[in-house]
Amino acid sequence: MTLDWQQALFDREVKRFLSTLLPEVADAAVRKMAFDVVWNVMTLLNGLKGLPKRIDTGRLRGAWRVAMANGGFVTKGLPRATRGTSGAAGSGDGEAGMSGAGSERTATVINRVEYAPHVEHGTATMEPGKHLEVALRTVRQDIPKDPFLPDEMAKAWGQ
Amino acid sequence: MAIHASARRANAKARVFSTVETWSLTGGPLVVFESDNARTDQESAWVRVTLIPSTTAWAGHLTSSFQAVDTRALLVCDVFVKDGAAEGQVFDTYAPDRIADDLEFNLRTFSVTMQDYATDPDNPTAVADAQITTVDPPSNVPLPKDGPWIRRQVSTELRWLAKHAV
Repeated sequence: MTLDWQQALFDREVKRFLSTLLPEVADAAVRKMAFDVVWNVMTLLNGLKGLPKRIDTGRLRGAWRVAMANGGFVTKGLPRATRGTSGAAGSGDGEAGMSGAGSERTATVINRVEYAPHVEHGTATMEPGKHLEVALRTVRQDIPKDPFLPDEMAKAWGQ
Repeated sequence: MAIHASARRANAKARVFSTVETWSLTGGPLVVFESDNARTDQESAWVRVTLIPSTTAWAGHLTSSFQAVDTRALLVCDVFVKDGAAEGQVFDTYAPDRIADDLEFNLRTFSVTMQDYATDPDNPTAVADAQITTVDPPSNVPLPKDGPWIRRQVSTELRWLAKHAV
């Protein structure tokens, strides 16, 4: 999938970036990037930046927040379900976690909502949204040239 | 200050769509654009072309009059071929792949000059220094069947430099 291809490019650049950081900062850096991808995809689902709006009940978007919460990631600053979006995500709709050690860290965030692939890749009656792919590209663009990342992390996580 | 023709995504969209329309695809599938999804009565193969805005970034000084903005968009071509085998017909199993391969081949070296459609849509004029090209080779993947439709998705990222007057 294109998404896999994007993920591979993303991982490679993250790895290169992390190699410049101390291991103790790597964990926070990876969490920060996972947060950024999730923040972007949640925001893009609202129909920003010219992408199609894919909010009906709000379950798909909410599942990203549920996943982050289940994985013990920071959720402060992520969009919340808005009034009128009654189909809030259940606790089983997402999961997340950290693995690895030193500068070899991996953040995994999984959205388990069953129609998520249709929203991303489209169907015969709905054009593709590509919210996640654009989110990955957006965050990847900022990886190598974000000198303020440690400052942002310090502010966000108090480290 | 007036927006430069290269900074109009509408121009890029029109240029890309009009280019894809000219491609010779195996079996001559119907080519439709973006949200033109009303294909419920369609019997033969069709391709949906979608151009999705992606990232933008300042790319620095271009000329004494313009800054450059690296502008990107995802071009997604969805191939839909009705599963004739499921309807008891003689069916070319590879038909979806052939169309997808044609699209992949054309997109691999995609490079067209932006045109300005604002003044006269029927006779667009070329925009200098605005070449729309691919960033990476396209991906060509099967997606799960959707109703009667066998699907393939060919996609790639396009980029061009949009001029921003200083």
